[in-house]
Amino acid sequence: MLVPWIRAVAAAGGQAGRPDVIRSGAMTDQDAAADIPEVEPDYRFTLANERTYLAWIRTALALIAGGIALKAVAGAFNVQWLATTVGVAATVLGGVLPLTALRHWRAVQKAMRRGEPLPVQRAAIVLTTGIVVLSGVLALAVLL
Amino acid sequence: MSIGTPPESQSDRTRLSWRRTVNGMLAVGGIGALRMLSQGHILEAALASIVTVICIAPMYRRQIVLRGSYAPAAWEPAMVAVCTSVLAATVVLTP
Repeated sequence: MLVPWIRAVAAAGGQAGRPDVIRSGAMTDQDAAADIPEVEPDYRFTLANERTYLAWIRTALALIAGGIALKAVAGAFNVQWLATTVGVAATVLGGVLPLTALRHWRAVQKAMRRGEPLPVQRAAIVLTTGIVVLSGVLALAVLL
Repeated sequence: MSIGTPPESQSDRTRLSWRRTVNGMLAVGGIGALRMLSQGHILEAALASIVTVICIAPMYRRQIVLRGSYAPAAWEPAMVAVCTSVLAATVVLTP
């Protein structure tokens, strides 16, 4: 919250940081964030961000493929409904990941243009948790 | 080696990354559509095929753009994300 404001103050040549302006509430954090000039970053960073996004898409495709495969071979399991559930859950996870990856790609691009710290990728936590849980349930379906 | 040439190939790496994603999309979309077709779900199979084709078009466009420039991606990632999600939804909703 503070970093955009500092940048806005610097961009305004210190005028926006006048105590009377701040106390009167004439400049909010949102105003300051809107004033930050966006500069296109080095193309290497832009393309690296794009490749990371594509890696997420491929991860999602792998999850969807796993879901299709599990639904196809669910009949081989003793507990058929458990295997089907894992397959459906994997596909749902694969359907949600691209949207979160898109959101993150945009956020990173915006942060790089503004020179701000890069946002944390929360989808990684969701993905890891989801895969661990699904693997556990699938192992259970194999053992039962 | 000519002087002034950047000692890296970011554009090629990104293009190859798009190509790998196209391959993955073709595999998943194709296998999904074939499975739906084998089960008699013709409408779902057609939808999966159409979504796959719609998804692949911007991917190829991006590969062509990256041949001559380092321009950042614009609408292509959004299109790919939506199409992948729709494909997943088609797979889930097919009995």
